[in-house]
Amino acid sequence: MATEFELCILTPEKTVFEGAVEYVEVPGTEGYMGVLAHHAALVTALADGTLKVRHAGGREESMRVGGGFFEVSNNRATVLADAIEEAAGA
Amino acid sequence: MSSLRTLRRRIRSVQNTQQITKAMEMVAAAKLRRAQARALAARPYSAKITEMLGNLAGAAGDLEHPLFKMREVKRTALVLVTSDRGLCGAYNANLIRAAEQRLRADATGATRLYLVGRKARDYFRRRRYPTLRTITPVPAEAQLDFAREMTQDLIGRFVSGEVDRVELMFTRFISALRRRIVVETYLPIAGGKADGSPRGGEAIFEPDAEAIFGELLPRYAAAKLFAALADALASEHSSRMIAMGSARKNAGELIDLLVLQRNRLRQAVITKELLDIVGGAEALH
Repeated sequence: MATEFELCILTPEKTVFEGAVEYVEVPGTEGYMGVLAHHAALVTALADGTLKVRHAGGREESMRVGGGFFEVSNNRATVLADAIEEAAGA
Repeated sequence: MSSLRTLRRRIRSVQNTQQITKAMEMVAAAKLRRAQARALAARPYSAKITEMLGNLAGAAGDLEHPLFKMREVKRTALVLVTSDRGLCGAYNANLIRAAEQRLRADATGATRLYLVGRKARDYFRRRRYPTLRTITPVPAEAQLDFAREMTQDLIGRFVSGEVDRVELMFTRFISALRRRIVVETYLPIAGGKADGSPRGGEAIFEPDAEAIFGELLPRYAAAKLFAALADALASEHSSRMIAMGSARKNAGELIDLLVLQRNRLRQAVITKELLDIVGGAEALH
């Protein structure tokens, strides 16, 4: 059982996702990066790409991100995306 | 004496009016619900990006950015957000009055209008006010692309030095019954330095704080404008709903009054006819 952390995916128009996840992979401007629970505080800009989420329990999901930001602090991760397109789970 | 027929015609006409205002009230209520949901859905992002801006400003110390720079104000742009359509009570009239006051208060005459919505355009064009830009039609629902385009235009004017400050005047939506006209300084962006929480201090920045800052500021500005436009739309619908609601009530009262008059008149006519018949019958005896 992997440890979980809070993930929040927001766009200017709405909240796309909010809940506990085990792992998230985001398309940073410097390359893809994966984040697990208890990651160090981090702020990065996002490029266009695919965001992958492993939910608590192991179900995986991916969606298209069109730029934005990603922040981790105090075991809370936030994606501020310019646009999100939800795709079928990977 | 108004005849029975003109009275009946009058009642029918007021009933028609009532029906229309009632329909408009219901449409406005439905649109209000949607607009309100949209305005509320935009808040988490807006709150988060404000928080991030505060953290970043606190963590990175004195970051320089053109959008932050306070300049001597030689020219101000006043962005006024009104609606394209009327029949919404004093919604637009209040906004226009507030804007005129603002213009008069600036004795140097250095404030230029930046108008959103047909109502503002019509009013200020008639009076030949100098305007930087007028935008109409306004999308019926708050649209991100619209807010982004407008933000880019405003940032462009600010950075090029065409204006030294941008103020945003719109109607903040508080509840279905309450709204208030507000003026906010839109540019330069007031960095949320008061936040002062040092927890972002040891954060890793990728690529670096400055680059993130440069990306963050325009988005922050767009989010703020988007929220303002969403609020303005919700306010417009709530204003229209209330205006149409009171119009419907007034029509109802008028109908009651006219119906009473009609009944009285009809009764009088019947009585008169009866008297004629009785009188005629008596004359035969």
